[in-house]
Amino acid sequence: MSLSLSFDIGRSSLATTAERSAVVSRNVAGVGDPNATRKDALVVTSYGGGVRVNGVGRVSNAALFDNLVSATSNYSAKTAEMGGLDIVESVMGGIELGRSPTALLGNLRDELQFFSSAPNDIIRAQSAVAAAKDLATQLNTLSTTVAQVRQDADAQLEQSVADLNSLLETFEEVNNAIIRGTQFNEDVTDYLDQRDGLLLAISEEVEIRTVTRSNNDVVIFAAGGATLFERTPRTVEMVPSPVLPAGTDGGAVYIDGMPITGPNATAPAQSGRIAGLATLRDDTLPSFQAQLDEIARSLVEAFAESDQSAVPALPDVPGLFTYAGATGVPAAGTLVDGLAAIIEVNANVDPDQGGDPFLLRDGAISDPLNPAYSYNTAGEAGFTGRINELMGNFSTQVTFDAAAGLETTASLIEFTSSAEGWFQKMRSDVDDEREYTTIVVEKSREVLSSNVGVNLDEEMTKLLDLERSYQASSRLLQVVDQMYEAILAATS
Amino acid sequence: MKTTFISTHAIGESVRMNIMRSQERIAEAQLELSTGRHADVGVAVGGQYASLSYLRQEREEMVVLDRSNSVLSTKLGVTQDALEAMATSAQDFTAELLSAQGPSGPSVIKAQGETRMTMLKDLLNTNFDGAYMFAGTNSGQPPMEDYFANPTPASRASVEAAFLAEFGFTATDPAVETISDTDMIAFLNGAYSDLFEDPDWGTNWSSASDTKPTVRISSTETVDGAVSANDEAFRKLASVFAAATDLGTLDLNPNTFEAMAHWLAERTGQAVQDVSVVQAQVGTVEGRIADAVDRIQTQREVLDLRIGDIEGVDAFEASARVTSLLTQIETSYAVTSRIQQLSILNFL
Repeated sequence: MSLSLSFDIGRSSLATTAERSAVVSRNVAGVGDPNATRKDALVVTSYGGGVRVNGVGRVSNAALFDNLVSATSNYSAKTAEMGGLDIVESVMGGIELGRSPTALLGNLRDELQFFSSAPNDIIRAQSAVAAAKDLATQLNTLSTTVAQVRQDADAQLEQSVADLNSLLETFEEVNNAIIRGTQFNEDVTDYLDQRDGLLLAISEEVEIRTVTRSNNDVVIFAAGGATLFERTPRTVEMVPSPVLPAGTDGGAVYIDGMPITGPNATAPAQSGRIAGLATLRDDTLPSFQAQLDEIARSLVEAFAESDQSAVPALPDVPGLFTYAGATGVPAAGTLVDGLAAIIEVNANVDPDQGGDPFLLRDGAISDPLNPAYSYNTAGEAGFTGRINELMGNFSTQVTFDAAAGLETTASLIEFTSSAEGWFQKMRSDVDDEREYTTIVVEKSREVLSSNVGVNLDEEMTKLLDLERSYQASSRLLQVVDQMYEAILAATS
Repeated sequence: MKTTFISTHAIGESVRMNIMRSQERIAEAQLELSTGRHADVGVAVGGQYASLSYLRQEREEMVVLDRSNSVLSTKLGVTQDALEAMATSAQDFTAELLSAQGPSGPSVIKAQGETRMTMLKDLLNTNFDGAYMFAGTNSGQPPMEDYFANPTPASRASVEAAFLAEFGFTATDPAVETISDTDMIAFLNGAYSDLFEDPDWGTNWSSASDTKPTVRISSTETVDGAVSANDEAFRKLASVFAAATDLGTLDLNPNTFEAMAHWLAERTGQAVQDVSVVQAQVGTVEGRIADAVDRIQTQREVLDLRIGDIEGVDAFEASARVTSLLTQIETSYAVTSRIQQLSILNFL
């Protein structure tokens, strides 16, 4: 043992303390960053009794992190789904505003009731026609909105796919840096933090599972086992659809050539924004669209006019409600895709388009010049037979297409309220799940952050320790120096 | 080994999240307090929304039926008034016929016949809210023309023609005095009465439709919403007043006049009875409407209760919620500021 060895040890202590305080300052800098983890300098005793920093450790908790990743996927799926449903709901306006199809349908029947009590009153006739137009317009608007939200979902899917691809590219760089750093025993903790952040961002787009291999290399599997990343990123692709009319399916999302959405997916994605948007675009909204189309078709059917001749020979034709390109009344119980978007009130009965609203009472809306379809052959102002018949049609049991996913035999008004109930049930379920997943995400993040995050007080106390240690080491060097001096003075 | 650890970020974050969630709930609770129903009904009731929207439009229908029923009862009330006036007029006429003795009798009867004919026309042409109440479904046209209009309407012309065909001279001819009481009664019961049967009645007298408009008064019931001028009662009244006016009343010999007055009195009596039958029919309809209105009222209350059950919130509960949320937020604020002060930095 010599004084010079003490001197070396003291110097190594100073160097180590400096490095450790650097780690503390890194921790303090990351105190506000939710993704930052707590780092610790790993101090080892070196030969000769000195100390040195042998690398920087990182506190992590794989189980909690996996939890957060899957919760994030769930949360973003439900948020994406709810976003679309809320747009449709904002157009429908709920019960209070009376803009829902059921409310408007009820309103039309009520106007007809008023009209039947004064069938000679032009104002009542106009009000009834106006109510019919409101209903048709709202069905158009709802249908357009549904199509628009589907298209938006398609565009967002495209965006998600693009984001995912660019995230995977960044991931590749970071992952390579980590592998290299690990091989050379460098400090990769900051890269690890960054990679965890990327994994969280990826999990927002699609649900993932990760496997860590030697040298800290991570492999990402997406829903259903498709490989998303192994050494290099795999391609995620989707063919976007510029327009998505009712009855057409949007393009599926492929990961590494395997579909993860749509009917061909063997193991479709369950969570992640891509899954949420795909559900919205491919399941929920097409079903609601089909229901709207069935409501529209059933309206055309309920208001259709039949041949009133003694010996009826002509087919039934669309009356008050018709649609562009109508060639007759659509077949009963058979879905006509996109009908809700084009249903309209016949111009012959619409006073705004030069029509005669009294045709609602008399019939022959389809063709005012064809007496065969006239119900009020005597042209009597007090004729209520047709109006009463129309009102009766609101509660007649008719057949609906099973493709709409609701009851197949119901009255028009029952079916419409069922469709609305179905939609609100969807919203309610999605909202429940979203609320639940929100809490899970928050909790997971809190627990994870609690576990691996930085505590300022702890860092400050560490700093106090380091300060003392530094002071002590300095003192030691000073003492050794004095001892040298004493020896030199004694020997000179 | 460390047994407990919490990061600084987690401390702040949990309180922040808590405050945000509470504030969101407060906004909801306030909305619920002011509207009395869930903040987002669709989300709150979920699958029950179908029944809710069905019940709501059902309730709306009750409101509308209530309003249309009150319009209909007013209409029927007007009809009832007109019928009452007709019955009174006919009863008065019977009294006049019976007391019309002496030389001034014929002129009184003729004058009264003319007045009452015009009155009958006015009453049958009662119009309410643009619709003729006695026109059946043909409510766009007044059912009766003015009998005394110029040029002579088909109704008056047909009476004159029948008279001429029966007796060979017009009712203004002096030869009217030669008509015997039996001939006159035969004419009145025969050719003259036929003028008021179909198809002559429909062609010459009334443009009303036999069909009465059906009006819905509840979700399942319909009633006749108007009366037709083609009812037996009005034909009889018209025949009585036309006879008093246009069958040479002033020139008849006293014997024949007496026979005619007798015939007229008898027929007017029948007409009064027929009018009361019509009144009773209208009264029945009015009764059914009154029943329907009561039933609708009950149904509305039931529907209101059920709608309230589904979408309503308990106001006391909501206001209690607001109070507790406010307390919670205030506590969170206090805790936050205390935590922020709690740092080792302040003691170094």
